[in-house]
Amino acid sequence: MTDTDKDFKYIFSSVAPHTTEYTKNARQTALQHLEALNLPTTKHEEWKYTNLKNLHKEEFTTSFSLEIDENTLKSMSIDGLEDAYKIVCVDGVFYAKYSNVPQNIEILSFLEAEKAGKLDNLFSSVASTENDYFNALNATYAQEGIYIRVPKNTQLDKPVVVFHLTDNQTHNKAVLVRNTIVSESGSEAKIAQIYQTKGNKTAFVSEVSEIFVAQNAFLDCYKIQNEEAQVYRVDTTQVHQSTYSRFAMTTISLKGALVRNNLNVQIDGEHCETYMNGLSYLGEKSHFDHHTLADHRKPNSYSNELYKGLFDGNSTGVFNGKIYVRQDAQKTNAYQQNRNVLLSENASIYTKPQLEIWADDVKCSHGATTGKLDETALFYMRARGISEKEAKKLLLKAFAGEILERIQIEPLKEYVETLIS
Amino acid sequence: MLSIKNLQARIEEKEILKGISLEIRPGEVHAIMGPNGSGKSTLASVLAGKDQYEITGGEVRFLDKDLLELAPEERAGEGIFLAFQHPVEIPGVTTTNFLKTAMNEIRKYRGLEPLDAVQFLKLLKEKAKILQMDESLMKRSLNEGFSGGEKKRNEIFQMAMLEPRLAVLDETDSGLDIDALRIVAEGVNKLKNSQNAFLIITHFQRILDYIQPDFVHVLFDGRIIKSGGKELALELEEKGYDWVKAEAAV
Repeated sequence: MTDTDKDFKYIFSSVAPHTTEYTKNARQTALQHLEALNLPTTKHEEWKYTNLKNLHKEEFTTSFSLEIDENTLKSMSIDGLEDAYKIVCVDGVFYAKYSNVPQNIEILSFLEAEKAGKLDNLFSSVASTENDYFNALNATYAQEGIYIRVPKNTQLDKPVVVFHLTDNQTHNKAVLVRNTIVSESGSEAKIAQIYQTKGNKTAFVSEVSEIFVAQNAFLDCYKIQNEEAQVYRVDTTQVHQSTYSRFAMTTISLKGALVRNNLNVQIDGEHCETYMNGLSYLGEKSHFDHHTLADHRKPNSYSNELYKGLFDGNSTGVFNGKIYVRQDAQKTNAYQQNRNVLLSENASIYTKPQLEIWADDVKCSHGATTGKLDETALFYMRARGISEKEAKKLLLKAFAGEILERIQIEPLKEYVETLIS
Repeated sequence: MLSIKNLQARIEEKEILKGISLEIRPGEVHAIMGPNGSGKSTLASVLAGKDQYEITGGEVRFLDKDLLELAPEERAGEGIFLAFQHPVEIPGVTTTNFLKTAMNEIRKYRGLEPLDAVQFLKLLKEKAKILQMDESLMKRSLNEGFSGGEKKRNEIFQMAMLEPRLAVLDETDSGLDIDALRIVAEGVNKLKNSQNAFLIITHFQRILDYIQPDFVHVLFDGRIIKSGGKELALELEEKGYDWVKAEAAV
């Protein structure tokens, strides 16, 4: 064990989780796994292009912010979504008093949910800790985050917008956030999570979300990752889908020092629909690593993935998307596309689309392209009087538009458009 | 209006234009004809400001400005329009949005206020009618999935919207069936006036039945080897290019 591994494992060890018998066992298992694991290095195949070594240089503490000031609260708002259901979390801590929680769904802090036994049989059930350092770390020590349950046959009339603020104004901090979302059968909901920061100290966030989409349930999720350059984030979203369910996740990645997203969907029912959309628009030294998995376990389901990236400055993108079709999953339709544009000489993208198919009657395709902005199109536009700057803007907007069109919450789409223009 | 003197240009190491001279005055229609590889499209691209070409000699003046010093968008601002031989597809940008941006950028260049949405749409409808453009095409991504004919017609439609002082039509007629050709030609004729000029680059005499040129030039091997009136086009159609080449060689 190196010194650096020691840091993360022991930084949280003073925390004493409150547990039920179920979560106590799950946490103990996670701890055993954690003890056998080391912080991944680039020698690890899944971490080949994402180097965590800069994390070692920082000292982190685990103390939280206890108050939010007025201005910060005001910044947690999206035009046109003022009357949406609002959840405010600072460093993972759920602030019920600043939130506007709908009556017909259940939203609790992670700790409340754990104490009440709401997490029994769910906690750490799909986000495996066995070979995953961060999942194990998170499952062992996480105390904050939210629990959302959309009850059976409930159709939410308005989206739930979760504002996650990382408050790094006063000191470097390390935060573990644990979310659980349960979409019960026949329910329909849209949940958007907006990630922001305040302050310029360094923060490390490990966030694990376990999402359960029951039979006939529709869940439409969004993540807008817009944290300032001092945030290191490892985000794992582990989804379980049952028969006739539909799940969509659209990830918009704009700012952050180093962000690793793991989005894994177990398509564990027939006639499911799964959509994974991603747009990265990065500059400066941002490094974003998207690992996705569409794990087809049962026949007759459909998955569609489109990740697009625009990389400027010295930014780096990694896309590692896998379609896995198990032997039972006949008649699977699975599609994956990754398209990238490099806007600067110093930007880079590592892309690795993967297909692993064990069934023989499936329709699958995948592909990846990387290029520059279309020079012919630029010239065409300029020849019509459009300045080079404006022409580039139009082309970028058009490129991003394909993902933005998939955002089913109009004000959120406009919000993202403003962020990227 | 446009004055080209001894223009020479190359792409990489290959000389393509070897000394072209041409004067175009307001109200005139010029046709440039010539076999494949004679440099016709290069001339069009050089006028529009495509930077793959290196200008190795000569000069081009447009309304008393040194055209070769201007960026492509500035040339458009001055009033030059190129109808592309191969119009570019731009996914995600609608024809309407594209044209509105172009118009207002040109207006900005000329120190004019931008058109508001109402004025713009009125103009759009008016011009779409002239070219019998299906208005549903305007809402689609620019040229994406358009047929060859629709693309060419869209070029002339854009020309009608932007009202250039000098329009260069680079083989706009190729790929058009006779009905589409007639519509395009009518569009050009309606836009023609004593203040503007047209340079029509073509392989075929056919388009010149509908748009009467004042001058016809034969381009061969990077040079204009013969100029004449519209009867020259008919003669070329009938006899091919060999006799002109032979005459030029003498």
